[in-house]
Amino acid sequence: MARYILQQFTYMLLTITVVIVGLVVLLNNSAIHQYPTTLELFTPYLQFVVNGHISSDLAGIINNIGAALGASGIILGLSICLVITASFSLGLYSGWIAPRYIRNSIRGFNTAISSIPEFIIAIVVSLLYTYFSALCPQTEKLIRTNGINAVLLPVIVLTLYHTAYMTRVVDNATQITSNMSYIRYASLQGMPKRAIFYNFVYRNALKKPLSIFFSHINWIISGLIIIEIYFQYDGVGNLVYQSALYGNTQSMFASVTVVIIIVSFMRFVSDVFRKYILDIVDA
Amino acid sequence: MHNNRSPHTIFVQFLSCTLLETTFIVFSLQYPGSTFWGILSLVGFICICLLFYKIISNSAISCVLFGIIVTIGVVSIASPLLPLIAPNRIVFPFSAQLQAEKSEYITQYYDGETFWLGVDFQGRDLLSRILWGTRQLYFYVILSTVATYLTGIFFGLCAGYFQGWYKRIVNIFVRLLLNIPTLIMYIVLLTALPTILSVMILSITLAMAPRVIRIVQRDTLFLSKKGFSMAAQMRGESHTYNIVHEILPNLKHLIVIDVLQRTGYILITVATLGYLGFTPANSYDDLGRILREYVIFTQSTPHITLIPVFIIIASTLSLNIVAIILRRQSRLNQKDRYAAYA
Repeated sequence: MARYILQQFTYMLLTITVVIVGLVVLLNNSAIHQYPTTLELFTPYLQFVVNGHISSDLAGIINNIGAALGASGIILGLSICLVITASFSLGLYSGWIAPRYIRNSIRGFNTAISSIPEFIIAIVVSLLYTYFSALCPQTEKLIRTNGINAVLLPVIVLTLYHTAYMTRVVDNATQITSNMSYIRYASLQGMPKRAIFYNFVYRNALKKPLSIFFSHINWIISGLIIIEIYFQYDGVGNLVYQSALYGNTQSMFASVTVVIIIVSFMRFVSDVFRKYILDIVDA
Repeated sequence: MHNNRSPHTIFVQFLSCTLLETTFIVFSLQYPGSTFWGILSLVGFICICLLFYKIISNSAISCVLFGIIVTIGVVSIASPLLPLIAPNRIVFPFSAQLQAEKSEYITQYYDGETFWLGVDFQGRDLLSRILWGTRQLYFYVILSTVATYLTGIFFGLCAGYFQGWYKRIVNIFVRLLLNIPTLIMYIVLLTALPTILSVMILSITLAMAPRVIRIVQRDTLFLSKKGFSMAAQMRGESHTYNIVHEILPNLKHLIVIDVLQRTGYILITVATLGYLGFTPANSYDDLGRILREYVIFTQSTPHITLIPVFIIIASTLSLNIVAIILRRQSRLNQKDRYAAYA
């Protein structure tokens, strides 16, 4: 276990280092930055690293990124909770006890939704919302409001897409598990279906989906970026995009680095957690 | 030979067709109005579709769904040959003030005979723009898919077959690339480097090829331990012979299924990049860029965005469902096939 953790930690550090070096090289040679030398471009960061001095530029960037991270965290957290709850329950139901026609409907719907790009789901959802919701007739008004209304559509779109994908995975895993010989044996012995489900199917069926879900977090973050851009939500994805669009290399460097550090750390934690969970399940 | 089909049949045909089509597409993108390159790219596309049809012809549903993609592809790739108005030509000039305001009513202008879907806020024919946009989108997708699979198959085969330090290096790169969120990678590369076709294809290849490498590597490792591969090694055949004649033909089913499914993902990626404005700014916009331009009209004139949306959904959905059906058939036969290999 210790060796595994060390290996994953090394991969995390390697990823962060490679990305930062790559960013420095790419942004330094790109035509978008307005600074004549590399030193000027990275001066605020160098000052911070060497002297611990936070310049006004860097302070502004830190404030922006902090606010954006908080905003993105709300959507991401809500979506991940909803995706886990919805996909695992729906997948287990569909793969284990759902009647054939319901199972086929769930599968068809999931296949359809997970084959459509997020921004297209966003277009369709906002169109439907505009036509069918009495809460707010215009999406433009919706996205400019605060509170729950501001995150409602982004969370719906993100949850819809990734729930569809994860439900497919859980559904398949449950079906494969339910066809295993030990499940059939338990069933032939006359064990109640509920007992078989809680004792055997549930824990074995969720092993693979859990691993897949943890490695799927990168995709969720990519989806979050598109959705933030579409809904003009002031999250970190939109910050990266706006920095890229307007050639603000300092902000771009900082926001991409922060995103990569967070993603790599989440990947590291999820890999360790997955290994830990799988060990428990196997035991 | 242990496999009853000659290795030089479908793979060689498929590879030659794809490479020829790639060349035609590059020339078509270089000379967008050229009828000659238009015809050649259309013929190439039809040939690739016919080769795919040979593989999926067992399933009626697959054929119908694949027909949808072929129809959309053929009609859009044939756009230079159709009697369409040039997509960028302003055929119904609006006042500068209306264009600046992007007034809603001007997108609703219809003339049943000349403009089937109306004109956009700049007075350009909508049908023509959508067809040309689909053509550009399909071209980008085909080029990206070819680049992704050439890279993925090459590195996956080598890593799976040779093992050792080569495999370790490839796996480190794969792991590194998989750790980076794809959209961040696209945004950084396409911002820092010039937004041209080759850079876009390079970014898509960097994001997609690691997944192909992993799949190909796993199956190559499995197949290289099988009797027919060992027998070829014992006969003293070269590594190249073993890879090309023994392992590659047996990866055919896997690759075909994966190509179909991943082409859907690549289509989603290219459409998304277009929507974000990261596809090359050519003389003709692709469907993603068109959507980006028209998305503000979604609520007033839904058809202007719903038609491109429908084209993207139909293409990706059909590709995915065909891949699912093929995978199911392949899984049913897998046990027998692997038993035969052993």
